[in-house]
Amino acid sequence: MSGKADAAISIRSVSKYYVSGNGKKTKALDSVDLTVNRGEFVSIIGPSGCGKTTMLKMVGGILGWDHGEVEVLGKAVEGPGPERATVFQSFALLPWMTVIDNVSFGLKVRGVAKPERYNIARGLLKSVGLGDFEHAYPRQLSGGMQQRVGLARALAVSPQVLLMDEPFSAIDAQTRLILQTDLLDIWSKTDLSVLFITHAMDEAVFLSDKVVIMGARPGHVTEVIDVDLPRPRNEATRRDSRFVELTGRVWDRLRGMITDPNADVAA
Amino acid sequence: MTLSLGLGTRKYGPFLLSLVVLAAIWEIVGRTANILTLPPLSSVLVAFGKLWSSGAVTAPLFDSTMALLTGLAISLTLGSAIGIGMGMSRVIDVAIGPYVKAGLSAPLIAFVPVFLMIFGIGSETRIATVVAFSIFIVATNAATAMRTIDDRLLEMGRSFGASRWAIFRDIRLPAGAPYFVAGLRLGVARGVKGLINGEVLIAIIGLGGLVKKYGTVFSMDQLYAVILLIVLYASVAVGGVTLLSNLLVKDKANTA
Repeated sequence: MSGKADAAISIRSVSKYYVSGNGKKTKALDSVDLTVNRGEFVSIIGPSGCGKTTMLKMVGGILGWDHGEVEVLGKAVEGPGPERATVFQSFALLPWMTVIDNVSFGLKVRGVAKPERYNIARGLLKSVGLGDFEHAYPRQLSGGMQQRVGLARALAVSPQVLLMDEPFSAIDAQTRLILQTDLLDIWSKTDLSVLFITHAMDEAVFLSDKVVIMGARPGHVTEVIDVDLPRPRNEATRRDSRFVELTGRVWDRLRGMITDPNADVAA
Repeated sequence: MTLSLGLGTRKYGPFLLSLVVLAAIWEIVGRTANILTLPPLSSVLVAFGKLWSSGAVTAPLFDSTMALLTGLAISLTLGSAIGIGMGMSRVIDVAIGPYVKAGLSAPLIAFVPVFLMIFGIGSETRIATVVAFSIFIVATNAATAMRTIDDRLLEMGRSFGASRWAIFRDIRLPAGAPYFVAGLRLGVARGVKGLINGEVLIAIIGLGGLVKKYGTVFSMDQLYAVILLIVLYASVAVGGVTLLSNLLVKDKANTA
């Protein structure tokens, strides 16, 4: 593990229990350790029920844990904070608001005046390629475009840590590849630290500096794979033999869990 | 133009046809049967015209409308507050939910004599009746508005550090708007029923008072004319609210 001062996110020996309706206590996370260094892009991949989204929510400050420590930029997480922003799997856009109002949502909540937040939002809409859509409503946009709005909304609050919860899983395969490259482009111009949850192995390898593989019941970290592919990454990266090899390694680890007949029982 | 006319015919044609048939039957039966309780439509329409031009209905109409609006305003504020409380707090829901459910299905007209005793034979009694008829449906819809919220939107709000108030104002209220609008529409429909029910029982005020007045003296032309007016009044009230809410909702949906 890296030195504490360099850590954007530091999760140490974190365990969490869920209590179900009948009072039964289930261990959701078992002594998990995870570090995301500053400026690093880290993905978590694992079967359903391994607690990867749970971990993201804990870092986001909207879900608690039972044992261990979760720190962001050296400070213990006690709730949501201005240095973090989340991009959601379901996009979570407000359907009655225009694109620009959606992008400014986080700023509005923080009391930024309208002209200023619109200014910031316009800049971000341009950078995600939606400069012409500020007055559109979310339902008029494709899934990929909606998630670009979701990304712009998260970036609008100028976070240092970006949390992405399976952001591209509801988007068609081709659009997803474009979004991946665009995300890397945007990220490379910032010093953002990213924690990215995904189900897609190629996505995890393509985007990340580190791929964290988790196992289920209870959720635990199985292995951390360092991705030594050079940056900037582009379409050629996907045909790189090292990319294929690393993706294969991730699959080898996951396949073992999925062939376990119990592996897809948990939610 | 031709297209919209064609669509209009297809949409309203059957209704217009049934209306013409019904009017014709009414007129024929009214003329041939010659019974007191069913004057022909033509004489009802004449009475309607006279009522209208003589100004006999102007004051009651205005009077009733003011009472309706007052009652609805009370129902909307109080009912929404109760419903929002029920929708957001389990304790409040368990504590007062049963009364709201009971009020929704109870024959509230039974309470009008009680209101009469409390408020006397003035406008307050019919306002109370309007409130009694409409408040429960408003509350029920407000509660549904709070309960059907997409948890993922609330989570998004919290993740951006929105306060409870900001989440309520910027997410819960607008997300629940369609339910509030439905509550308003149903509330208006029930409120009109409450208004007329109350007025008939009070017997001396508003449109319901006219019903009582002409009914007791068997002035059937005028009685039917007033009933016709009340039916139109209710339709216009509900139609107006529907139109208004459609405009509000469509405005958002159709803006490019």
